[in-house]
Amino acid sequence: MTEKNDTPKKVEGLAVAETRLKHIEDARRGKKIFVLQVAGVWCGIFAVLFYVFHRFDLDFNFMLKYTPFIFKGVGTTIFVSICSIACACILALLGAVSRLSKNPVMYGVSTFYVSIIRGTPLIVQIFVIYLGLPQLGIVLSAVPAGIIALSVNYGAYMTEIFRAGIQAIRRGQVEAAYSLGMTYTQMMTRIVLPQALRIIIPPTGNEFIAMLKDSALVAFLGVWELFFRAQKIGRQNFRNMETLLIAALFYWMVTILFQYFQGRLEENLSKGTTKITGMTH
Amino acid sequence: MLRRNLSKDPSTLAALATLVLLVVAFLFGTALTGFAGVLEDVKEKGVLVVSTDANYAPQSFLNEKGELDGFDIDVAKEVAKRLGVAVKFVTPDWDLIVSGKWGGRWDLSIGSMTITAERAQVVDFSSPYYYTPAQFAIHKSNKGIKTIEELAGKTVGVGSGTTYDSYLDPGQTLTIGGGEKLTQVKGVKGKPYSTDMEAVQDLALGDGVRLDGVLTSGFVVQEAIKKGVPIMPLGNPVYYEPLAAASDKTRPGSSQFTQKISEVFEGMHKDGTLSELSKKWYGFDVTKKAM
Repeated sequence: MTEKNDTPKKVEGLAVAETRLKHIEDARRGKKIFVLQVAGVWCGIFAVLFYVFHRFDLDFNFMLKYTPFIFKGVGTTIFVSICSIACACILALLGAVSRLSKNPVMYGVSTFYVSIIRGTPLIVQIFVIYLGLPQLGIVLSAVPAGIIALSVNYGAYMTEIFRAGIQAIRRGQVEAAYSLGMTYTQMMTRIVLPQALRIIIPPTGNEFIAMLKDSALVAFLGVWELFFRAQKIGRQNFRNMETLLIAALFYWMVTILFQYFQGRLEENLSKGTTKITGMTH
Repeated sequence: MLRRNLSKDPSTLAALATLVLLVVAFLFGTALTGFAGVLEDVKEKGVLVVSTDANYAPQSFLNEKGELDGFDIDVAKEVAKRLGVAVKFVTPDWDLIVSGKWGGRWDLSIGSMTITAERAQVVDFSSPYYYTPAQFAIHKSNKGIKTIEELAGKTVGVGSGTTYDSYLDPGQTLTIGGGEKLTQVKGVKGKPYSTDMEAVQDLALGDGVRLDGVLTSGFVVQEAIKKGVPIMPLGNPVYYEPLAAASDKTRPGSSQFTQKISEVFEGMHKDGTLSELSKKWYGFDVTKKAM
């Protein structure tokens, strides 16, 4: 009786398992084919690009000769970007905390800061800071002036990121912290910010990658970074195209490198959540 | 209770961070502009900080080792030597140099700056150390244009903020040296580029593709032709520019400083140093007045 009933169920179960397995295999094969197709497309794009650049009548010997000189700017570009993103994070944290505060002065200053900075071009801000600060008696050389301009600019955009990250933490967490007798600072540093960080870091990484390229604007102040070096060498030899392509390639490579780090960091930060979702499956 | 209120107030955090930022800014920043004269400042520091526009060979450029080199650079080194101080170069954008108000970031411009009455409102000029011809050039393949007057209605590229830019812009005046206002060629459309070099490269794309001509220093035209750029000079130089060192007018002791630089130049003219450097970089003497 029981055997008779059990056998078809078992067979059914086996069939289900088989079809599932087949689905998984199909999906895997599909994925492999997709990866190969994408690789093919990329090869095609590279072939077209190579043809286009070939038509440009580029002087490859000239490019090879000056690549090491332009490469030396990579360090400066990364240095300026890292300093700027660090300062921008401080500004963004202040901006976000003020933006969420009930103090009218802090709220007013923060909203004004975000509004004016987001409403004006970065290149204008760079020149205003470089030319304007000396009139107030603060004379900064090119690198710090550039870092301040980039920090102030990105700080405004990142204020919104930080604000959203802080606001995403449930009100109950704040209330619980206060009911445990924590002060505002304790509540922020021990409860809210550590949780907000997970939300804040991915878009901040994105901002950093954008900053790597915007840092080219400090070349106008005479900072010898990637773009500056490429431009100077190109102009003197009437071969701007060659040197700018070299700089573009370096920017791209640095971006790919930092994108990789960003991916790893995100993976690390999301460990907590992925494990939970893994268990529910 | 008081402590709790303090730490609860986010403005403490804000004040602290502002303080940190200010300290960092001052650590990074160079010293505030002194109240003594420029010359005294330079002598005290033992360093003459010179701005140069490293876009033009052979006057100021990056050599194969990636170091600053050229006529302007050699002249600046010699000036510093005669003042008994070391020399340091900075390379800000040309627009930042000619707009004055340097805030003491650098002391002197030795960057082939043309003396004009308009610029003299923001900088003090020394006496000229050499002269450069302003030269029109057109594409090599152009057979139609034979004289400068035939450029009327055509588009001519110039470096932004240069005397060539002012010369072609009907909205601007150009008064070279202490002389009279120059009369501009009628109907030529000037198109400003970030430097003369971009204009030259745009002309090289082909006759009339983007530009019909350029107006730049005769030396730039010469250098371009030497490097295989397909352009040729058109007509005689339209004017000669006296090129001088300049210092920021808003800085105390600026005019006395440029006076001192003029004396140094005079010495370099007299003992043949300038002529020698000119022959080294240009192949001939460009330091004698040629008007």
